[in-house]
Amino acid sequence: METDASLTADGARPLLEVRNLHMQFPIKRGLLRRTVGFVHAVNDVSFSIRPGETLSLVGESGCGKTTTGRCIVRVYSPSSGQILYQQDERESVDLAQFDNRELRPFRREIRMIFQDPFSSLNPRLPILQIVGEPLRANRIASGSELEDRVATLLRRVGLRPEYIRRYPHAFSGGERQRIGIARALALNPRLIVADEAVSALDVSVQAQILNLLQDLQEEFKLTYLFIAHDLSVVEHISHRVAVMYVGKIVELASADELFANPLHPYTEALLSAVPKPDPRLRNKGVRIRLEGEVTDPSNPPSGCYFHPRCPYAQDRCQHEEPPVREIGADHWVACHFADELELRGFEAIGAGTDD
Amino acid sequence: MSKAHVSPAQDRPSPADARAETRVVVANQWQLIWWKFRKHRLAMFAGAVTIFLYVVAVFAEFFAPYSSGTYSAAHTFIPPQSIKLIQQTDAGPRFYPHINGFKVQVDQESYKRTYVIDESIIYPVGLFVRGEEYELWGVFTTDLHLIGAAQFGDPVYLLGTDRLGRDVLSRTIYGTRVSMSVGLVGVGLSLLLGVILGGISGYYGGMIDNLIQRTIEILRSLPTIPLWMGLSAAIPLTWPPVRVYFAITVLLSLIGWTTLAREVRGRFLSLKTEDFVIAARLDGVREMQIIIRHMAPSMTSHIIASVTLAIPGMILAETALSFLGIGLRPPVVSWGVLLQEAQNVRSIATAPWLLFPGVAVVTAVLAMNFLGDGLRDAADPYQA
Amino acid sequence: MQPTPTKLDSAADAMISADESLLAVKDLKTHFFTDEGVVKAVDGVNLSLKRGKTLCVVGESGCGKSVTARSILRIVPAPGRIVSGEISFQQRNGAMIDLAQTNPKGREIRQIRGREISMIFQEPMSSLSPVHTIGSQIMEAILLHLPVTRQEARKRAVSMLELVGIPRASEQLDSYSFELSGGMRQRAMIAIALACEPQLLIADEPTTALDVTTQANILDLIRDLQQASGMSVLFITHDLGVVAEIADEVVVMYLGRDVESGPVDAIFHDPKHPYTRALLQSIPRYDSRDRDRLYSLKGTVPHPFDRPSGCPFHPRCDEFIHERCNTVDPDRYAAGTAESVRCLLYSPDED
Repeated sequence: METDASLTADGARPLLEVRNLHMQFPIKRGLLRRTVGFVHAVNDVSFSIRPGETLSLVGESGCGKTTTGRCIVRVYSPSSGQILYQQDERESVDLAQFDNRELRPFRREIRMIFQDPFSSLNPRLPILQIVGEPLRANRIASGSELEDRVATLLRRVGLRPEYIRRYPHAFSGGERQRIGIARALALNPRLIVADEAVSALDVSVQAQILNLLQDLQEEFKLTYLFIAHDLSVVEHISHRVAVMYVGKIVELASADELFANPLHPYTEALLSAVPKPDPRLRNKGVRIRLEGEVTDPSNPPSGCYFHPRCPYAQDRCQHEEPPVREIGADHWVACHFADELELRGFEAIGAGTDD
Repeated sequence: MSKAHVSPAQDRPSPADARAETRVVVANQWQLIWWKFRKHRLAMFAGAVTIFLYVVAVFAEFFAPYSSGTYSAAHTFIPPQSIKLIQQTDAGPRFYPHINGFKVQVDQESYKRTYVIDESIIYPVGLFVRGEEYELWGVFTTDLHLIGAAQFGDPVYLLGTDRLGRDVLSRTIYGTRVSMSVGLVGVGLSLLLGVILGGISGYYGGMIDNLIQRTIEILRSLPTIPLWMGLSAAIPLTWPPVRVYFAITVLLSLIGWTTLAREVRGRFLSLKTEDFVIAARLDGVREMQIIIRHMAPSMTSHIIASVTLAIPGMILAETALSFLGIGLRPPVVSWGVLLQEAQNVRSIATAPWLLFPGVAVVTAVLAMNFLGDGLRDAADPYQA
Repeated sequence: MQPTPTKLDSAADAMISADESLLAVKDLKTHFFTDEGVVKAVDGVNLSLKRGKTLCVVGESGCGKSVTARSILRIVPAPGRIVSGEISFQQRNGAMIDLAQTNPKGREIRQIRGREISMIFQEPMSSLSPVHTIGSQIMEAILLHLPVTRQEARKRAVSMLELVGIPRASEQLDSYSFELSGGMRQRAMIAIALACEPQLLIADEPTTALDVTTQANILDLIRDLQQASGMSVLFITHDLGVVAEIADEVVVMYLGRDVESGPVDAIFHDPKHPYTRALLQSIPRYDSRDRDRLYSLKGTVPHPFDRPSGCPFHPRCDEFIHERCNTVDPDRYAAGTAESVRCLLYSPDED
């Protein structure tokens, strides 16, 4: 288990270790559907998830966070790279190499919660069938035992077990998301990939679901890979945060550290863009407004992908791609000038300036 | 969207509403489709007409006053006769459904025969009358007819007769059987081809998809009438009518499957990336099960709708082919075959009632189009 | 349906007659007459917007905030229609008009749309035509309302695109909406909306579909344009962070009602209505202890068909007064810094 570019640090053996993950989608054109190029959605991503923690992947749309999550649950087959999963005390396996049949045992342990509570539940099946699907498919329970287990799961996520025969159309967005969570819990998972699990929900419902996720994490010792774009939610739920930009991780640190002391200019810009829910903070502190648009991942610029928009960019940034390096304890960043720049955290930009 | 709440709602409106609510929350897709379809008045009516047409087709012998071949040399080109319900007698008016007889007048100059109604001759008409004997589906032998002359043998021709003195109404009713079933059988074959090829195309993608899609494009770019003409010219004249009938349906479905294949492929492609299908895969459900449990049920309602919309096309195609004389041939009776007899100007001028099968075609096609529209709108009850 | 509010009427009237008030909505009700029954999407909304100010209407999905905005412009989709209420709008010539009384297809409202009141939407892609260039869409808006030549309109279109910060404006004039990115599309949408210098801009969740950095830019843009032109903005959003950034006044909506309205500072620092308080407590905040449980409202927004009796919020309210809140429909009461609160806790008649 030697580590080089991977972003592991302390002695704890990671539950999941992603190494140099690449995912390229071909762009096909013409009558014969020839491949004319690639969208490099995930570009050399490495990180590890420790048992029991919540690691968040944040970034703007198109940054590759969802694709990374889908590679880990193997909806996609990665173009290259390793996804090392800690099977038991001693052995770890590379999920990236497995085919569908070999993946079956691991699909019980690594589960996914989807963003859209409407499209992720088959509208034509009752809740019993939806939540019971993993139990049935893995021949764990059937008949009345299946019903009992589904009822228990529903109760655990805060739904009434009498709802078992209802169809998804009878539920609101928040309730549907609870059903999705119950389905993810059905097989006693260890790792849950939550892909924008609360993004489609109203604030009051979002709070309910976030609380539920935290309760479940404590109760079942779950590990979360939390994919989100809302930084206040991420700040609230995460232990560690990885920031992605155009398929690459640009910064990874503990949540407290990242929000207080960002080292990458993109992180700083993201933090400053978050609207603070306090009118008294308006027009206080600094705001960094990024110029231009997110780079097209099928045609990225040379050097550092962020340099066309970076307020601190210098010549070097145009030519040389910055490696991911560790600055400070367990704080990884991909920026040539990470040691020199004096970047401001969330506190300096927003909270704490009102007196 | 929610009709249920986690919170113990203190005030449920009324017991009736609560019942409706429980009904909705446990309703499966077919119930929801039915509820949505029911609101579509025109489609409901069209559905009733369609069902009626198929009932007529199945029980043609019963609905028709005569058999399709019965002729009477003495009664050629008789115009439609209108039913009179009331008879004026000495004792006053009485209910006595009948038609009047007619006299033949021959124009001395042109030798043209015209029929003149003769009020003095009365032929009573009745429902459920005894007439010619027939075998229904080769099982029952009976002589009961829905409508006809109350006394067997009276010349009652409600929609007139053709040049051989055959009853137009009876022949149109027999034509319903052939024309409506050509649509059904043809679409059945197209469906089989369409679902298999479209499914393969959508599920596997890649080269196979490419091949099937290009084939579809070539088939669809061929002008259909010449293609059908060429193919039906290849049907040997010596074939018995039944075999010709099946050959024609196969010909029609050869083109018809392409539309359905595209529909199925499109659904497959969009379903493949649906979150709930991905979720099923992550649940460990096997591929075959995913198709059967998750993908197929999402498609069936759409397929039923497009099948309904495809049948009128088949009916029209059969009519067109037979009309051109390259489809079904007498003695088979179809709407197209009947219309072929009304092809020349003379018969239209002297016997416009021979065009009545055309009314049947229009009714059937409109009804099935409206029905299909309604089904298509209701096919996805989960969309707002 | 319910007793007309009496307590605040005089105050509200005074405000409407005040010169600075541009738009005043009084007891607006917009219902949807569906096959299944009547959906009371908006059921008694009151709001007033002063000249040059920004009013945020905030609430969760299904609270009727979008329908309120659409009612003002009379673009409520069928089977919805305004059942009662008043929408007084002061036109440029000083005349007051009740938009609720206008014919939605008539000349009066068409002269107001685009010229006096403009609207931008959440999804610019669906409100921009894909078959016309951005430039021709701006020019169409200009030519429709202003007495200018095509030449002048084109010039004005270029300057509008420059104003909203679209780079290489004269080139972009001839591009189509699908060639622009999400942020640029929203800018183009704003350019079209502002082409005729409207007095009021209605922005319906204009940043919801955008990334956070783009959102910040668009919010800055709207604020800058407002400062430059002095227009009023009615901003519809569900995001309290955005409200705090941009609002002068806030109206909080729940189930088709305004439950609380007041200045932005009062709403955030001295919220009165239990729903407002709950909303504010359910957003994760930086200053809260990390990974503490969030306050969460119980239950979900009821289905519009079974609207609770009395105060519509009572089934989810922590301060529910038995036999009062579920029977009495609260009026709008004045309370402290808040302009009005619809809650029996603040009723002068209650103890």
